[in-house]
Amino acid sequence: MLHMEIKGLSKSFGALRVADGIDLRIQRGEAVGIIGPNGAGKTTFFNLIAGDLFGDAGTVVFKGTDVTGWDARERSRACMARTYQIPQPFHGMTVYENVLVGAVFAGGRSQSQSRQHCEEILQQTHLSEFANTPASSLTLLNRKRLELARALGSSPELLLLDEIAGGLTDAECSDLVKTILDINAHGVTVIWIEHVVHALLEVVNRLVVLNAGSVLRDGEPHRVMRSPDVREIYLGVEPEADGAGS
Amino acid sequence: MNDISETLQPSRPQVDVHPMGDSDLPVTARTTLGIVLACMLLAMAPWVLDLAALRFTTDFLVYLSLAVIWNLLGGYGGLISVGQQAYVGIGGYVFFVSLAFLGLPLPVAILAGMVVSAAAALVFAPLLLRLKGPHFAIGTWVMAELCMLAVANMPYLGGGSGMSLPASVAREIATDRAGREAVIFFCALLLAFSAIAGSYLLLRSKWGLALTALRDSERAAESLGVDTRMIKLAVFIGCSAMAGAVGCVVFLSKLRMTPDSAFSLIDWTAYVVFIVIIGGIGRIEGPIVGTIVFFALRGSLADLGPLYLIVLGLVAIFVMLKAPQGLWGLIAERYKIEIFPVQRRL
Ligand SMILES: Nc1ncnc2c1ncn2[C@@H]1O[C@H](COP(=O)(O)OP(=O)(O)OP(=O)(O)O)[C@@H](O)[C@H]1O
Ligand SMILES: [Mg+2]
Repeated sequence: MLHMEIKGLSKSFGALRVADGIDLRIQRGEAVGIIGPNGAGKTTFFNLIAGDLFGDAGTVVFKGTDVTGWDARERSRACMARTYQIPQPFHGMTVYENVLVGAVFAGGRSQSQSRQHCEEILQQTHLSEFANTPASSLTLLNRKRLELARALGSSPELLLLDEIAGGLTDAECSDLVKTILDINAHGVTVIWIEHVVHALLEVVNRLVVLNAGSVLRDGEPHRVMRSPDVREIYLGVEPEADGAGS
Repeated sequence: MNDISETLQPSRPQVDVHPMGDSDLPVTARTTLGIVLACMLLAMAPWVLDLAALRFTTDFLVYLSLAVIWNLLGGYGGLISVGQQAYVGIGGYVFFVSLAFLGLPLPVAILAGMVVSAAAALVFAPLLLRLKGPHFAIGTWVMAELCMLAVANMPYLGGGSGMSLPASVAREIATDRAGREAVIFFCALLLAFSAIAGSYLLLRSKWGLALTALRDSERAAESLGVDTRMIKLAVFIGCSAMAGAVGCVVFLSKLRMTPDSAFSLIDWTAYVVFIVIIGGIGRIEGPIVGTIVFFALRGSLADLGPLYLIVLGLVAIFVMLKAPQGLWGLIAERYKIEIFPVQRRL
Protein backbone atom coordinates (compact mmCIF):
# COMPACT_ATOMS: atom_id res chain seq x y z
CA MET A 1 0.00 0.00 0.00
CA LEU A 2 1.32 3.41 -0.97
CA HIS A 3 2.16 5.42 2.14
CA MET A 4 3.69 8.56 0.73
CA GLU A 5 4.17 9.89 -2.76
CA ILE A 6 6.54 12.73 -3.54
CA LYS A 7 6.38 14.35 -6.94
CA GLY A 8 8.74 16.92 -8.42
CA LEU A 9 9.79 18.26 -5.03
CA SER A 10 12.13 21.22 -5.51
CA LYS A 11 13.78 23.76 -3.27
CA SER A 12 16.45 26.39 -3.86
CA PHE A 13 18.40 28.51 -1.42
CA GLY A 14 19.21 31.48 -3.60
CA ALA A 15 21.07 30.10 -6.59
CA LEU A 16 21.73 26.77 -4.87
CA ARG A 17 19.27 24.09 -5.98
CA VAL A 18 19.11 21.74 -2.99
CA ALA A 19 16.14 19.66 -4.11
CA ASP A 20 15.75 19.30 -7.83
CA GLY A 21 12.52 17.62 -8.84
CA ILE A 22 12.65 14.64 -6.47
CA ASP A 23 10.13 11.85 -7.16
CA LEU A 24 9.71 9.07 -4.62
CA ARG A 25 7.02 6.54 -3.77
CA ILE A 26 7.18 4.98 -0.35
CA GLN A 27 5.14 1.89 0.53
CA ARG A 28 3.67 1.40 3.97
CA GLY A 29 6.00 -0.56 6.24
CA GLU A 30 9.05 -0.05 4.03
CA ALA A 31 12.49 0.68 5.45
CA VAL A 32 14.24 3.02 3.05
CA GLY A 33 17.81 4.22 3.42
CA ILE A 34 19.05 7.50 1.99
CA ILE A 35 22.72 8.16 1.36
CA GLY A 36 24.57 10.85 -0.49
CA PRO A 37 27.62 13.08 -0.16
CA ASN A 38 27.72 15.99 2.29
CA GLY A 39 25.53 18.80 1.11
CA ALA A 40 23.59 16.55 -1.26
CA GLY A 41 20.35 17.89 0.20
CA LYS A 42 19.35 14.93 2.38
CA THR A 43 18.41 16.91 5.46
CA THR A 44 16.65 19.48 3.29
CA PHE A 45 14.66 16.65 1.76
CA PHE A 46 13.54 15.61 5.25
CA ASN A 47 12.69 19.20 6.10
CA LEU A 48 10.47 19.28 3.03
CA ILE A 49 8.75 15.99 3.90
CA ALA A 50 8.23 16.91 7.55
CA GLY A 51 6.97 20.41 6.81
CA ASP A 52 9.89 22.23 8.47
CA LEU A 53 10.48 23.85 5.09
CA PHE A 54 8.14 24.53 2.21
CA GLY A 55 9.26 23.59 -1.29
CA ASP A 56 9.25 25.87 -4.32
CA ALA A 57 7.49 23.24 -6.44
CA GLY A 58 6.19 19.71 -6.18
CA THR A 59 3.74 17.85 -3.98
CA VAL A 60 3.80 15.56 -0.98
CA VAL A 61 0.89 13.15 -0.73
CA PHE A 62 0.69 11.30 2.58
CA LYS A 63 -1.83 8.50 3.07
CA GLY A 64 -3.71 9.65 0.02
CA THR A 65 -3.96 13.26 1.18
CA ASP A 66 -2.10 16.16 -0.33
CA VAL A 67 -0.20 17.58 2.64
CA THR A 68 2.01 19.94 0.62
CA GLY A 69 0.63 23.05 2.30
CA TRP A 70 0.61 21.58 5.81
CA ASP A 71 3.08 22.82 8.40
CA ALA A 72 5.23 20.60 10.63
CA ARG A 73 2.65 20.58 13.40
CA GLU A 74 -0.15 19.42 11.14
CA ARG A 75 2.00 16.74 9.61
CA SER A 76 3.04 15.50 13.05
CA ARG A 77 -0.60 15.07 13.95
CA ALA A 78 -1.04 13.07 10.78
CA CYS A 79 1.49 10.61 12.28
CA MET A 80 4.79 11.75 10.79
CA ALA A 81 7.76 12.11 13.12
CA ARG A 82 11.39 13.03 12.63
CA THR A 83 14.69 13.24 14.43
CA TYR A 84 17.21 16.02 13.95
CA GLN A 85 20.73 15.49 12.69
CA ILE A 86 21.88 17.97 15.31
CA PRO A 87 19.92 16.81 18.37
CA GLN A 88 17.45 19.41 19.56
CA PRO A 89 16.50 18.16 23.02
CA PHE A 90 14.30 20.21 25.31
CA HIS A 91 17.30 20.62 27.58
CA GLY A 92 15.48 22.12 30.52
CA MET A 93 13.07 19.21 30.75
CA THR A 94 13.56 15.66 31.94
CA VAL A 95 13.95 12.82 29.47
CA TYR A 96 10.47 11.60 30.33
CA GLU A 97 8.99 15.05 29.72
CA ASN A 98 10.76 15.25 26.38
CA VAL A 99 9.01 12.10 25.24
CA LEU A 100 5.73 13.25 26.75
CA VAL A 101 5.51 16.30 24.46
CA GLY A 102 4.92 14.27 21.30
CA ALA A 103 2.70 11.79 23.09
CA VAL A 104 0.43 14.56 24.32
CA PHE A 105 0.45 17.01 21.43
CA ALA A 106 0.98 14.95 18.29
CA GLY A 107 -0.59 11.82 19.78
CA GLY A 108 -3.56 13.58 21.38
CA ARG A 109 -3.34 11.76 24.71
CA SER A 110 -3.64 13.30 28.15
CA GLN A 111 -0.55 13.39 30.36
CA SER A 112 -1.74 10.52 32.51
CA GLN A 113 -2.74 8.39 29.54
CA SER A 114 0.75 8.87 28.13
CA ARG A 115 2.60 7.58 31.14
CA GLN A 116 2.75 3.93 30.27
CA HIS A 117 3.30 4.64 26.61
CA CYS A 118 6.34 6.79 27.42
CA GLU A 119 7.63 4.22 29.87
CA GLU A 120 7.62 1.59 27.12
CA ILE A 121 9.42 3.87 24.69
CA LEU A 122 12.08 4.72 27.24
CA GLN A 123 12.61 1.01 27.79
CA GLN A 124 12.79 0.34 24.07
CA THR A 125 15.38 3.08 23.61
CA HIS A 126 17.37 2.15 26.74
CA LEU A 127 16.65 5.44 28.48
CA SER A 128 14.62 4.15 31.42
CA GLU A 129 17.31 4.84 33.99
CA PHE A 130 17.51 8.47 32.83
CA ALA A 131 13.77 9.10 32.80
CA ASN A 132 13.96 11.75 35.50
CA THR A 133 17.27 13.37 34.60
CA PRO A 134 17.37 16.66 32.73
CA ALA A 135 18.03 16.21 29.01
CA SER A 136 20.89 18.72 29.25
CA SER A 137 23.00 16.22 31.22
CA LEU A 138 22.79 13.39 28.67
CA THR A 139 25.78 12.02 26.77
CA LEU A 140 25.88 12.14 22.96
CA LEU A 141 24.66 8.55 22.67
CA ASN A 142 21.74 9.21 24.95
CA ARG A 143 20.92 12.43 23.15
CA LYS A 144 20.62 10.45 19.95
CA ARG A 145 18.47 7.91 21.74
CA LEU A 146 16.34 10.74 23.05
CA GLU A 147 15.82 12.08 19.52
CA LEU A 148 14.47 8.66 18.60
CA ALA A 149 12.44 8.26 21.79
CA ARG A 150 10.85 11.67 21.38
CA ALA A 151 9.84 10.91 17.81
CA LEU A 152 8.39 7.58 18.91
CA GLY A 153 6.44 9.35 21.63
CA SER A 154 4.03 10.65 19.02
CA SER A 155 3.27 7.09 17.78
CA PRO A 156 4.33 7.78 14.20
CA GLU A 157 3.35 5.77 11.18
CA LEU A 158 6.20 7.35 9.22
CA LEU A 159 9.50 7.85 10.99
CA LEU A 160 12.25 10.03 9.49
CA LEU A 161 15.69 9.40 10.99
CA ASP A 162 18.48 11.84 10.19
CA GLU A 163 21.94 10.39 10.92
CA ILE A 164 21.22 8.98 14.32
CA ALA A 165 24.12 6.50 14.17
CA GLY A 166 26.85 9.09 13.56
CA GLY A 167 29.52 9.09 16.25
CA LEU A 168 28.42 5.89 17.95
CA THR A 169 30.67 2.92 18.72
CA ASP A 170 30.06 -0.39 16.92
CA ALA A 171 28.29 -1.90 19.91
CA GLU A 172 26.07 1.13 20.32
CA CYS A 173 25.39 1.08 16.64
CA SER A 174 24.23 -2.53 16.52
CA ASP A 175 22.04 -1.81 19.49
CA LEU A 176 20.44 1.04 17.58
CA VAL A 177 20.01 -1.18 14.54
CA LYS A 178 18.09 -3.68 16.66
CA THR A 179 15.80 -0.96 17.97
CA ILE A 180 15.04 0.39 14.51
CA LEU A 181 14.42 -3.11 13.11
CA ASP A 182 12.00 -3.63 15.97
CA ILE A 183 10.17 -0.38 15.24
CA ASN A 184 9.93 -1.24 11.54
CA ALA A 185 8.70 -4.75 12.39
CA HIS A 186 5.77 -3.11 14.16
CA GLY A 187 4.62 -1.62 10.88
CA VAL A 188 6.20 1.81 11.08
CA THR A 189 7.53 3.07 7.76
CA VAL A 190 11.14 4.15 8.27
CA ILE A 191 13.22 6.49 6.11
CA TRP A 192 16.75 6.68 7.38
CA ILE A 193 19.52 9.06 6.26
CA GLU A 194 22.85 7.62 7.34
CA HIS A 195 26.54 7.88 6.58
CA VAL A 196 27.25 4.70 8.57
CA VAL A 197 26.33 2.53 5.61
CA HIS A 198 26.89 -0.87 7.21
CA ALA A 199 24.35 -0.06 9.92
CA LEU A 200 21.94 1.17 7.31
CA LEU A 201 22.26 -1.97 5.19
CA GLU A 202 21.26 -4.13 8.16
CA VAL A 203 17.91 -2.39 8.30
CA VAL A 204 16.76 -1.16 4.92
CA ASN A 205 15.31 -3.11 2.03
CA ARG A 206 15.67 -0.22 -0.37
CA LEU A 207 18.35 2.38 -0.82
CA VAL A 208 18.05 5.82 -2.38
CA VAL A 209 21.12 7.81 -3.36
CA LEU A 210 20.71 11.56 -3.43
CA ASN A 211 23.22 13.69 -5.23
CA ALA A 212 23.05 17.42 -5.85
CA GLY A 213 19.38 17.50 -4.97
CA SER A 214 18.16 14.68 -7.16
CA VAL A 215 17.74 10.92 -6.98
CA LEU A 216 20.75 9.23 -8.53
CA ARG A 217 19.83 5.62 -7.77
CA ASP A 218 16.91 3.90 -6.09
CA GLY A 219 16.63 0.15 -5.58
CA GLU A 220 17.87 -2.96 -3.82
CA PRO A 221 20.57 -1.78 -1.39
CA HIS A 222 23.45 -4.04 -2.42
CA ARG A 223 22.86 -3.48 -6.10
CA VAL A 224 22.73 0.24 -5.58
CA MET A 225 25.96 0.18 -3.59
CA ARG A 226 27.67 -1.77 -6.39
CA SER A 227 26.67 0.58 -9.20
CA PRO A 228 29.69 2.49 -10.56
CA ASP A 229 28.20 5.99 -10.46
CA VAL A 230 27.33 5.57 -6.77
CA ARG A 231 30.85 4.37 -6.04
CA GLU A 232 32.19 7.32 -7.95
CA ILE A 233 30.04 10.04 -6.46
CA TYR A 234 29.38 8.74 -3.00
CA LEU A 235 32.57 6.89 -2.23
CA GLY A 236 34.82 8.64 -4.71
CA VAL A 237 36.54 5.41 -5.84
CA GLU A 238 37.53 3.98 -9.23
CA PRO A 239 37.30 6.82 -11.76
CA GLU A 240 39.28 9.12 -9.48
CA ALA A 241 41.93 6.42 -9.03
CA ASP A 242 42.06 6.09 -12.81
CA GLY A 243 42.45 9.80 -13.22
CA ALA A 244 45.32 9.87 -10.73
CA GLY A 245 47.00 7.00 -12.55
CA SER A 246 47.03 8.55 -16.02
CA MET B 1 -9.39 5.84 -1.74
CA ASN B 2 -7.99 7.01 1.53
CA ASP B 3 -10.19 9.73 2.80
CA ILE B 4 -8.32 12.00 5.12
CA SER B 5 -10.94 12.21 7.80
CA GLU B 6 -10.95 8.45 8.20
CA THR B 7 -7.34 7.52 7.81
CA LEU B 8 -5.27 10.36 9.11
CA GLN B 9 -6.37 10.48 12.69
CA PRO B 10 -8.11 7.22 13.38
CA SER B 11 -8.47 7.33 17.14
CA ARG B 12 -6.86 10.66 17.75
CA PRO B 13 -9.04 13.33 19.23
CA GLN B 14 -8.10 16.89 18.34
CA VAL B 15 -5.72 18.34 20.85
CA ASP B 16 -8.25 20.91 21.97
CA VAL B 17 -10.55 18.23 23.28
CA HIS B 18 -8.64 18.18 26.54
CA PRO B 19 -9.43 21.24 28.60
CA MET B 20 -6.58 22.71 30.57
CA GLY B 21 -5.79 20.75 33.70
CA ASP B 22 -7.89 17.77 32.70
CA SER B 23 -6.38 14.57 34.02
CA ASP B 24 -3.09 16.34 34.41
CA LEU B 25 -0.95 16.03 37.48
CA PRO B 26 -2.96 16.25 40.68
CA VAL B 27 -1.98 19.26 42.73
CA THR B 28 -0.18 18.07 45.81
CA ALA B 29 -2.07 18.51 49.04
CA ARG B 30 1.00 19.84 50.83
CA THR B 31 1.47 22.75 48.46
CA THR B 32 -2.23 23.62 48.43
CA LEU B 33 -2.29 23.62 52.21
CA GLY B 34 0.83 25.78 52.28
CA ILE B 35 -0.64 28.36 49.92
CA VAL B 36 -3.92 28.52 51.84
CA LEU B 37 -2.10 28.92 55.18
CA ALA B 38 0.19 31.62 53.80
CA CYS B 39 -2.78 33.52 52.40
CA MET B 40 -4.73 33.26 55.65
CA LEU B 41 -1.74 34.49 57.59
CA LEU B 42 -1.22 37.37 55.18
CA ALA B 43 -4.91 38.21 55.19
CA MET B 44 -4.63 39.18 58.85
CA ALA B 45 -2.08 41.86 57.99
CA PRO B 46 -4.52 44.83 57.89
CA TRP B 47 -5.55 44.07 61.48
CA VAL B 48 -2.13 43.49 62.97
CA LEU B 49 0.22 45.77 61.03
CA ASP B 50 0.47 49.54 61.24
CA LEU B 51 -0.04 51.59 58.07
CA ALA B 52 3.62 51.78 57.10
CA ALA B 53 4.12 48.03 57.52
CA LEU B 54 0.93 47.32 55.60
CA ARG B 55 2.11 49.52 52.73
CA PHE B 56 5.42 47.70 52.76
CA THR B 57 3.62 44.34 52.56
CA THR B 58 1.46 45.60 49.69
CA ASP B 59 4.56 46.75 47.88
CA PHE B 60 6.09 43.34 48.47
CA LEU B 61 3.05 41.58 46.98
CA VAL B 62 3.07 43.89 43.96
CA TYR B 63 6.68 43.05 43.18
CA LEU B 64 6.05 39.40 43.89
CA SER B 65 3.23 39.41 41.33
CA LEU B 66 5.34 41.15 38.70
CA ALA B 67 8.23 38.77 39.29
CA VAL B 68 6.05 35.66 39.06
CA ILE B 69 4.56 36.93 35.81
CA TRP B 70 7.95 37.83 34.36
CA ASN B 71 9.29 34.43 35.36
CA LEU B 72 6.46 32.66 33.57
CA LEU B 73 7.08 34.70 30.45
CA GLY B 74 10.89 34.70 30.47
CA GLY B 75 11.84 31.74 32.61
CA TYR B 76 9.38 29.21 31.25
CA GLY B 77 8.37 30.68 27.91
CA GLY B 78 11.76 32.05 26.90
CA LEU B 79 10.12 35.39 26.11
CA ILE B 80 12.59 37.75 27.76
CA SER B 81 10.65 40.98 27.92
CA VAL B 82 12.06 44.29 29.03
CA GLY B 83 8.83 46.07 28.21
CA GLN B 84 6.48 44.95 30.97
CA GLN B 85 6.16 48.61 31.97
CA ALA B 86 4.03 49.10 28.85
CA TYR B 87 1.24 47.00 30.33
CA VAL B 88 1.66 48.31 33.88
CA GLY B 89 1.38 51.82 32.46
CA ILE B 90 -1.55 51.12 30.17
CA GLY B 91 -3.36 49.31 32.97
CA GLY B 92 -2.75 52.22 35.31
CA TYR B 93 -3.93 54.88 32.88
CA VAL B 94 -7.05 52.97 31.85
CA PHE B 95 -7.79 52.43 35.51
CA PHE B 96 -7.51 56.15 36.28
CA VAL B 97 -9.66 57.08 33.30
CA SER B 98 -12.27 54.48 34.29
CA LEU B 99 -12.45 55.77 37.86
CA ALA B 100 -12.01 59.50 37.38
CA PHE B 101 -13.66 60.20 34.01
CA LEU B 102 -16.09 57.34 33.53
CA GLY B 103 -17.05 56.87 37.18
CA LEU B 104 -16.85 53.06 37.00
CA PRO B 105 -16.76 50.98 40.17
CA LEU B 106 -13.35 49.77 41.38
CA PRO B 107 -13.55 46.11 40.23
CA VAL B 108 -14.81 47.15 36.80
CA ALA B 109 -12.02 49.71 36.51
CA ILE B 110 -9.42 47.03 37.32
CA LEU B 111 -11.01 44.69 34.80
CA ALA B 112 -10.91 47.48 32.21
CA GLY B 113 -7.20 48.01 32.90
CA MET B 114 -6.56 44.31 32.39
CA VAL B 115 -8.62 44.08 29.22
CA VAL B 116 -7.00 47.09 27.57
CA SER B 117 -3.50 45.88 28.51
CA ALA B 118 -4.33 42.50 27.02
CA ALA B 119 -5.70 44.18 23.90
CA ALA B 120 -2.51 46.22 23.54
CA ALA B 121 -0.49 43.02 23.83
CA LEU B 122 -2.68 41.44 21.17
CA VAL B 123 -1.95 44.37 18.86
CA PHE B 124 1.82 44.23 19.48
CA ALA B 125 2.04 40.44 19.40
CA PRO B 126 2.11 39.85 15.64
CA LEU B 127 5.21 42.01 15.43
CA LEU B 128 6.90 41.11 18.73
CA LEU B 129 6.39 37.35 18.70
CA ARG B 130 8.03 37.17 15.32
CA LEU B 131 11.25 38.39 16.96
CA LYS B 132 13.57 36.00 18.76
CA GLY B 133 15.81 36.33 21.80
CA PRO B 134 17.51 39.72 22.09
CA HIS B 135 15.44 41.12 19.24
CA PHE B 136 12.29 40.30 21.13
CA ALA B 137 13.70 42.00 24.23
CA ILE B 138 14.55 45.16 22.32
CA GLY B 139 11.19 45.06 20.55
CA THR B 140 9.28 44.97 23.82
CA TRP B 141 11.30 47.88 25.16
CA VAL B 142 10.72 49.96 22.03
CA MET B 143 6.98 49.25 22.25
CA ALA B 144 6.94 50.40 25.86
CA GLU B 145 8.77 53.62 24.95
CA LEU B 146 6.28 54.23 22.15
CA CYS B 147 3.40 53.75 24.60
CA MET B 148 4.97 56.26 26.97
CA LEU B 149 5.46 58.80 24.19
CA ALA B 150 1.90 58.32 22.97
CA VAL B 151 0.45 58.84 26.44
CA ALA B 152 2.68 61.85 27.11
CA ASN B 153 1.22 63.46 24.00
CA MET B 154 -2.41 62.93 24.93
CA PRO B 155 -3.79 66.08 26.59
CA TYR B 156 -6.82 64.06 27.68
CA LEU B 157 -4.50 62.00 29.90
CA GLY B 158 -2.73 65.08 31.28
CA GLY B 159 0.19 64.88 28.84
CA GLY B 160 3.62 64.89 30.44
CA SER B 161 2.35 66.04 33.82
CA GLY B 162 0.05 63.03 34.23
CA MET B 163 -3.14 62.45 36.18
CA SER B 164 -4.32 62.33 39.77
CA LEU B 165 -7.24 60.50 41.27
CA PRO B 166 -9.65 63.10 42.67
CA ALA B 167 -10.05 62.94 46.44
CA SER B 168 -13.75 62.20 45.98
CA VAL B 169 -12.94 59.05 44.04
CA ALA B 170 -10.43 57.95 46.67
CA ARG B 171 -13.07 58.49 49.36
CA GLU B 172 -15.52 56.31 47.49
CA ILE B 173 -13.18 53.35 47.79
CA ALA B 174 -12.99 53.65 51.56
CA THR B 175 -13.84 56.41 53.99
CA ASP B 176 -10.47 56.64 55.69
CA ARG B 177 -6.87 56.03 54.74
CA ALA B 178 -6.59 52.78 56.72
CA GLY B 179 -9.62 51.42 54.92
CA ARG B 180 -8.17 52.32 51.55
CA GLU B 181 -4.83 50.76 52.37
CA ALA B 182 -6.63 47.59 53.39
CA VAL B 183 -8.53 47.46 50.08
CA ILE B 184 -5.29 47.96 48.16
CA PHE B 185 -3.60 45.32 50.25
CA PHE B 186 -6.29 42.76 49.50
CA CYS B 187 -6.12 43.56 45.79
CA ALA B 188 -2.36 42.98 45.87
CA LEU B 189 -2.81 39.75 47.82
CA LEU B 190 -5.34 38.51 45.30
CA LEU B 191 -2.95 39.39 42.46
CA ALA B 192 0.01 37.61 43.99
CA PHE B 193 -2.13 34.60 44.81
CA SER B 194 -3.55 34.42 41.27
CA ALA B 195 -0.12 34.84 39.72
CA ILE B 196 1.44 32.05 41.77
CA ALA B 197 -1.49 29.64 41.68
CA GLY B 198 -2.08 30.40 38.01
CA SER B 199 1.54 29.75 37.02
CA TYR B 200 1.63 26.61 39.11
CA LEU B 201 -1.51 25.13 37.59
CA LEU B 202 -0.51 26.20 34.09
CA LEU B 203 2.94 24.67 34.39
CA ARG B 204 1.55 21.37 35.59
CA SER B 205 -0.95 21.22 32.77
CA LYS B 206 -0.07 20.06 29.30
CA TRP B 207 0.18 23.70 28.24
CA GLY B 208 3.05 24.14 30.67
CA LEU B 209 4.76 21.17 29.06
CA ALA B 210 4.34 22.82 25.66
CA LEU B 211 5.53 26.21 26.92
CA THR B 212 8.74 24.82 28.39
CA ALA B 213 9.30 22.74 25.26
CA LEU B 214 9.01 25.69 22.90
CA ARG B 215 11.38 27.68 25.09
CA ASP B 216 14.05 25.01 24.54
CA SER B 217 13.42 24.35 20.85
CA GLU B 218 10.58 25.97 19.02
CA ARG B 219 11.26 23.90 15.95
CA ALA B 220 11.23 20.55 17.71
CA ALA B 221 8.13 21.51 19.68
CA GLU B 222 6.32 22.40 16.48
CA SER B 223 7.29 19.10 14.86
CA LEU B 224 5.92 17.27 17.90
CA GLY B 225 2.50 18.80 17.45
CA VAL B 226 2.75 21.91 19.65
CA ASP B 227 1.02 25.01 18.34
CA THR B 228 3.87 27.28 19.40
CA ARG B 229 2.38 30.48 18.02
CA MET B 230 -0.91 30.05 19.82
CA ILE B 231 0.75 29.18 23.13
CA LYS B 232 3.19 32.08 23.01
CA LEU B 233 0.38 34.44 22.14
CA ALA B 234 -1.83 33.19 24.97
CA VAL B 235 0.94 33.45 27.56
CA PHE B 236 2.04 36.87 26.33
CA ILE B 237 -1.49 38.22 26.50
CA GLY B 238 -2.24 36.61 29.85
CA CYS B 239 0.94 38.04 31.38
CA SER B 240 0.17 41.48 29.94
CA ALA B 241 -3.31 41.42 31.46
CA MET B 242 -1.78 40.55 34.82
CA ALA B 243 0.77 43.36 34.47
CA GLY B 244 -2.15 45.67 33.69
CA ALA B 245 -3.83 44.59 36.92
CA VAL B 246 -0.63 45.33 38.81
CA GLY B 247 -0.67 48.80 37.26
CA CYS B 248 -4.18 49.38 38.64
CA VAL B 249 -3.19 48.36 42.15
CA VAL B 250 0.07 50.31 42.14
CA PHE B 251 -1.53 53.59 41.08
CA LEU B 252 -4.54 53.13 43.31
CA SER B 253 -2.05 53.32 46.13
CA LYS B 254 -0.01 56.17 44.65
CA LEU B 255 -3.11 58.19 43.61
CA ARG B 256 -1.20 59.97 40.91
CA MET B 257 0.73 58.97 37.84
CA THR B 258 2.88 60.50 35.12
CA PRO B 259 4.05 58.86 31.91
CA ASP B 260 7.48 58.52 33.51
CA SER B 261 6.24 56.73 36.60
CA ALA B 262 3.66 54.63 34.79
CA PHE B 263 6.03 53.42 32.08
CA SER B 264 9.14 53.22 34.24
CA LEU B 265 11.65 50.70 32.92
CA ILE B 266 13.50 50.64 36.25
CA ASP B 267 10.48 50.20 38.48
CA TRP B 268 8.43 47.72 36.49
CA THR B 269 11.01 45.69 34.66
CA ALA B 270 14.61 46.20 35.83
CA TYR B 271 13.91 45.50 39.53
CA VAL B 272 11.68 42.62 38.51
CA VAL B 273 14.37 41.02 36.36
CA PHE B 274 16.80 41.47 39.25
CA ILE B 275 14.37 39.69 41.57
CA VAL B 276 13.85 36.74 39.25
CA ILE B 277 17.55 36.32 38.51
CA ILE B 278 18.76 36.37 42.10
CA GLY B 279 15.87 34.19 43.24
CA GLY B 280 16.16 31.66 40.44
CA ILE B 281 14.79 31.90 36.93
CA GLY B 282 12.57 29.10 35.68
CA ARG B 283 11.38 28.01 39.13
CA ILE B 284 8.21 29.21 40.80
CA GLU B 285 9.97 29.54 44.16
CA GLY B 286 12.62 31.81 42.56
CA PRO B 287 10.57 35.02 42.41
CA ILE B 288 9.41 34.51 46.00
CA VAL B 289 12.94 34.19 47.35
CA GLY B 290 14.09 36.98 45.04
CA THR B 291 11.42 39.39 46.26
CA ILE B 292 12.35 38.71 49.88
CA VAL B 293 16.04 39.38 49.14
CA PHE B 294 15.20 42.49 47.11
CA PHE B 295 13.13 44.01 49.90
CA ALA B 296 15.76 43.11 52.49
CA LEU B 297 18.42 44.87 50.38
CA ARG B 298 16.17 47.83 49.69
CA GLY B 299 15.43 48.22 53.38
CA SER B 300 19.04 48.07 54.46
CA LEU B 301 20.54 50.10 51.62
CA ALA B 302 17.90 52.82 51.38
CA ASP B 303 20.32 55.46 52.74
CA LEU B 304 22.91 54.85 50.04
CA GLY B 305 21.06 56.85 47.40
CA PRO B 306 22.24 56.21 43.84
CA LEU B 307 24.88 53.80 45.17
CA TYR B 308 21.99 51.47 45.95
CA LEU B 309 21.49 50.66 42.28
CA ILE B 310 25.18 49.88 41.89
CA VAL B 311 25.02 47.50 44.85
CA LEU B 312 21.98 45.77 43.34
CA GLY B 313 23.87 45.38 40.08
CA LEU B 314 26.90 43.90 41.84
CA VAL B 315 24.70 41.46 43.75
CA ALA B 316 23.04 40.38 40.51
CA ILE B 317 26.39 39.84 38.79
CA PHE B 318 27.74 37.92 41.77
CA VAL B 319 24.69 35.64 41.90
CA MET B 320 24.74 35.09 38.13
CA LEU B 321 28.39 34.01 38.31
CA LYS B 322 28.24 31.95 41.48
CA ALA B 323 24.72 30.59 41.31
CA PRO B 324 23.24 30.74 37.83
CA GLN B 325 20.24 28.84 39.14
CA GLY B 326 19.64 31.63 41.64
CA LEU B 327 19.45 31.41 45.41
CA TRP B 328 16.51 29.05 45.31
CA GLY B 329 18.50 26.82 42.97
CA LEU B 330 21.20 26.56 45.63
CA ILE B 331 18.72 25.88 48.39
CA ALA B 332 16.77 23.32 46.39
CA GLU B 333 19.94 21.47 45.48
CA ARG B 334 21.43 21.46 48.95
CA TYR B 335 18.28 20.47 50.83
CA LYS B 336 16.50 18.60 48.05
CA ILE B 337 13.29 20.53 48.55
CA GLU B 338 10.66 21.71 46.15
CA ILE B 339 7.61 23.68 47.18
CA PHE B 340 5.98 23.87 43.77
CA PRO B 341 6.83 20.65 41.98
CA VAL B 342 6.09 21.07 38.29
CA GLN B 343 8.38 18.39 36.95
CA ARG B 344 6.70 15.22 35.71
CA ARG B 345 8.36 12.06 37.01
CA LEU B 346 8.22 8.43 36.12
N1 LIG C 1 18.51 27.16 5.45
C1 LIG C 1 19.46 27.11 4.49
N2 LIG C 1 19.84 28.23 3.85
C2 LIG C 1 20.79 28.20 2.89
N3 LIG C 1 21.43 27.09 2.51
C3 LIG C 1 21.11 25.93 3.12
C4 LIG C 1 20.11 25.90 4.16
N4 LIG C 1 20.01 24.62 4.58
C5 LIG C 1 20.90 23.91 3.85
N5 LIG C 1 21.56 24.69 2.98
C6 LIG C 1 22.55 24.26 2.02
O1 LIG C 1 21.95 23.28 1.22
C7 LIG C 1 22.86 22.25 0.93
C8 LIG C 1 22.26 20.91 1.34
O2 LIG C 1 22.18 20.88 2.75
P1 LIG C 1 21.65 19.62 3.52
O3 LIG C 1 21.77 19.92 4.98
O4 LIG C 1 20.32 19.26 3.05
O5 LIG C 1 22.71 18.52 3.11
P2 LIG C 1 22.89 17.04 3.65
O6 LIG C 1 22.80 16.15 2.49
O7 LIG C 1 21.99 16.78 4.78
O8 LIG C 1 24.39 17.09 4.15
P3 LIG C 1 25.08 16.36 5.40
O9 LIG C 1 25.44 15.00 4.93
O10 LIG C 1 26.29 17.20 5.66
O11 LIG C 1 24.12 16.37 6.51
C9 LIG C 1 24.14 22.57 1.65
O12 LIG C 1 25.02 23.14 0.73
C10 LIG C 1 23.73 23.58 2.68
O13 LIG C 1 24.77 24.48 2.92
MG1 LIG D 1 22.14 16.37 6.74
